[in-house]
Amino acid sequence: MKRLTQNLVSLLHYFTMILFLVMLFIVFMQVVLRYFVGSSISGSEEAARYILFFLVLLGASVCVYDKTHLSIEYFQDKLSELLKIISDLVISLSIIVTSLIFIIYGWELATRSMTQTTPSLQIPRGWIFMAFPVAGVLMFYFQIQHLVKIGRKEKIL
Amino acid sequence: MIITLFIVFFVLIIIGTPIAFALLISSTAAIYFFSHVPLLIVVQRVFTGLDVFALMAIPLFLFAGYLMTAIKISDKLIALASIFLGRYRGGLSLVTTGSSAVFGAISGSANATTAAIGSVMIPSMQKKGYDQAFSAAVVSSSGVLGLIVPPSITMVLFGVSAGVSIGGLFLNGIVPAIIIAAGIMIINYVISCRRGYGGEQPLDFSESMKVIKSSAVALAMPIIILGGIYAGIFTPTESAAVACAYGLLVGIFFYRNLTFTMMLEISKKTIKTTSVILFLIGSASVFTYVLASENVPRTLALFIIDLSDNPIVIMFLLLGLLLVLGTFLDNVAAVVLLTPTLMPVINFAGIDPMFFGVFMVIAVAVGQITPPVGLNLFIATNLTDRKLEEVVRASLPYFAFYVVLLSFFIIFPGLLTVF
Repeated sequence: MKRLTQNLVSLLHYFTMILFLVMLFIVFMQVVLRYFVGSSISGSEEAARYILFFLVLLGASVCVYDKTHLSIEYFQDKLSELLKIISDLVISLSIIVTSLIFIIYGWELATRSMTQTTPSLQIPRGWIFMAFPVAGVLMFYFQIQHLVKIGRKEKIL
Repeated sequence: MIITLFIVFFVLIIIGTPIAFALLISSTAAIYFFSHVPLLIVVQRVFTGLDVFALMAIPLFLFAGYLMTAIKISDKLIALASIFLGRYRGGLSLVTTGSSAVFGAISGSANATTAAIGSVMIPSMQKKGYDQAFSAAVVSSSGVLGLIVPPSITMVLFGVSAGVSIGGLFLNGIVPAIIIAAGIMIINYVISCRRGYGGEQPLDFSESMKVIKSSAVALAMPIIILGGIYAGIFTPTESAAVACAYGLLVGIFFYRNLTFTMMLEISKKTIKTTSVILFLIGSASVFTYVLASENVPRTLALFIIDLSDNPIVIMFLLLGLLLVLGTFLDNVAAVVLLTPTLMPVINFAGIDPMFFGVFMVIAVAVGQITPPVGLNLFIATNLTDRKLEEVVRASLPYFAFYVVLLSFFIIFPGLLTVF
């Protein structure tokens, strides 16, 4: 399980890195072409936007794994032991509920918009929205593991 | 509905829930229990919040900033600042402020600036007998310039949320940044005179020329970015892409200290920070949808106008709000959350959105040097062996300076809208 998680995380690292470099290349080429040729490749801006969208949702799932999302820790550090456990559980619950919303409604949005195509790239919009259920599953998986860890530490499980 | 929204949101935030998830859960709860709108709107809003081309500037500027930090630009800028400022009384403290200001023109982050400059300057100030609490205070209050000197991540966020020209915000950030840098240096000088900190031995001419030459390449970057935007050659987003390419060229061919492993590490860091910031934007877009559907920004605007319709009074109220929120809210979160709520107030009161943008970026940046959650203070304190309280006390004159200066900007708003 631990092995699987680590492999998954490094896979996500490499995948988002490729997305990032492609995006960087697209935006840079857009400037170069517009400046020297006078026109840019059609759809390049759209492609960059969608790549960024995928990158953010996948990256945000990794941030659930290593707990790097922005939060205010100042008050939590002042709580008593018991309240700290309760707050940890509430935090886990809110991340899990969010991931379920991404899975259920993201899937609905994606399957509904498979017939629409994007303005310049002409790809089905549904494929872009697929980032939601994918990120939802990843966040769910990572957060369940944190939850199990909390449970083991507090000997609840 | 709104009361539920805020109670759920604040409870979640206080127990330490990541802000993005607190926003998503509280808005989902408000939509689910108090309206007939299907929850599909949640994912739709996250998507529309992120589907903005101007946001591309954030990963690109982050990448360029990390790149310049990794190839040790900070050392060169410190050497450069030493030539011009080192010889005066309290020279090292002046060098700290000067190099932070220039480093801010390369990186868009206050914390990165504090860490990069502080890790070099705090030890060298210690060697010369400076009080460590004083040096930590200088480093952290100069580090704030990282957020104010353009390019600045918070300016991009404000521009996107408020629909204000990002290029304009960048250019208008230059004048206040210079005033702030000059002001901090005056405080450094006065304190140094009182405590008898001396100047440094000036370098001879040929040595100086060598330093200037090797740092000129780094200095060209902000000139390319701001000059390009000012001349209309490229948009802020495009200038960010150019900055990345320039940083790569400088690292590979000029300083020759950029390795492939470093590149991987930098992109990993960029992706992490980008995901955190942009995921927050997507989540905030659901939250502001709920607020807007309940007319909250408008009601708030009418309420404030009812108190006073004098723009100066309103600005002082907002300054108080921004400073208080800035003490515990990260500046990215503060800008993303407050801008959509406050913009109607600004429009009603007839305040220039451009002025307010620059003002807000400075006001929330000051939160970096106020406890309990002033990250700059933590970073600088960690570089010394002093306690946080001592550094906080030593930072007080600088904090007071920022507040006085912000009040000054309210009375003379023209200083923030020169371009």
